[in-house]
Amino acid sequence: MATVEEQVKEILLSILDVKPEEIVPTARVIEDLKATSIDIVEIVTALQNTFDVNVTDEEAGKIRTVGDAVDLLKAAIAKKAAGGT
Amino acid sequence: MRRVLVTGLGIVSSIGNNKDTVLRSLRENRSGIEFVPEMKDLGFRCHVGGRVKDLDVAWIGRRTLLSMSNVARFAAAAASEAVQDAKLLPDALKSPRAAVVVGTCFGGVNEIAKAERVLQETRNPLRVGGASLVRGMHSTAAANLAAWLGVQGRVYSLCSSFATGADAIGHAYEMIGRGTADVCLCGGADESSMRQAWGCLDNWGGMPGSRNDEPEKACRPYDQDREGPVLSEGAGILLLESRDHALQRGAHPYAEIVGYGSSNDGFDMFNPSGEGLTECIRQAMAAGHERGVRRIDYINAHGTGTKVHDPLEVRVIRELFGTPSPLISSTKGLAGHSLGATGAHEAIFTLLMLRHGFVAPTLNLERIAPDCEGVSHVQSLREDPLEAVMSFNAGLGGANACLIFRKP
Repeated sequence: MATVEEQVKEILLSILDVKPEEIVPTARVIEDLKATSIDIVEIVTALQNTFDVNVTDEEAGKIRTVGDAVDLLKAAIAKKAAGGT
Repeated sequence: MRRVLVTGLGIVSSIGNNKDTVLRSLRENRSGIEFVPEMKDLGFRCHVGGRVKDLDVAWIGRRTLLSMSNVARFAAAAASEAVQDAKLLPDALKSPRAAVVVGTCFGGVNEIAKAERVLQETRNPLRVGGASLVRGMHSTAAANLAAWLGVQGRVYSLCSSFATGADAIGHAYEMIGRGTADVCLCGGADESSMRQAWGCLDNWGGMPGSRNDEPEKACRPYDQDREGPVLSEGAGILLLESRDHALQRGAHPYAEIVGYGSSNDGFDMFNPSGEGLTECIRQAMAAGHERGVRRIDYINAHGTGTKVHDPLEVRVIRELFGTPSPLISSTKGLAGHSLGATGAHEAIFTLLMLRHGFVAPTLNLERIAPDCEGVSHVQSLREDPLEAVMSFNAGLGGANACLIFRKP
């Protein structure tokens, strides 16, 4: 089964015009990967739908890097496993 | 009115995703109608349709595709072919003198339905995403083409039911004729899976259910055992230019548009009157007459295979043209009814026949129904040096549109 990191990478590749090697944990989503505000909404939507977790606006707004997105998802998955939403 | 030429064609359809494949399908009766498992699963009586197959759009790029639902992707692939076919330099479109008029019946309605489902299921607006709005809006195909190609003049969609594609081409013709634009990408596009449309047509008994095991025989315009329509999808895009613009750059036009008519029955939302169709063909013929057209060699009729419309249009042709009538065929038995794209698809089929000198027959017309007799039906491929040809369409809500093309 693909890891969270691999699935996040797959989603970013499906939305942004970037090369696989550009998607590293420290890559900044806006500055380095050139994501627009609409791209970010699409990415957050795809992440939620892929992992079936809910992310709030506030949490989504804190994503700066690829690593932030992975951490946020891992936390949301853990929260869901613990019985949250 | 300035003179207007068709200089490029592009098509995505059930019978091919480029004009060369479509030309072969027309010549060789290669049907685009096939079994559609989803229709059976959903409990429709009709299990057949004309889907677009094997269309590669990855070359458009992920960033651009993000804002495109299928209807816009079909239009983009067809527009790209039309521009290349016309050998028009892409910079010629990056101008306020360039326009896009791409009609559609349903736009990106599947995106709207999808967003609604997601919202109902998750109760979380963030799950709806941000780009589904531009994928779903009615002008999505036209707007996406403009953003992608840099077009800066008039850009919009129009809708007149199944006359949409023909009206979009006619509108672009008038726009260039009046001098509002020099070049225009125009036509129609629609994507299938519109379950609501399918459902209504199936409930009316408007789609065939008796030949689910022989999909290619399901739609039978003008036949004694006629049934139809069979729904399909795709896009047809024509590149139109003012004659001066085209000749200055050495274009090789397919045809000159010499007539356009558009009317409404003003009568009923479901049933046609016949008078509206007569009026729109008369308008186109009057315009053609002013351009010196004295005879129409071939008519690509709407011919959906329905009990009501087929005999009505045959009567209109008989009354307007007398005996012998121009050669008549419907290409819907072959390619299906692509809704907002159908007028543009059939204009392209007609233009290919005009250039290559043949008439594609009405597929599945084996025994002409008594109420469809009295016109020159084409039942097998016919080589003919066509000079002037017509394509007309009619739709729900009493819409009618007619185009006349002449060899350049």
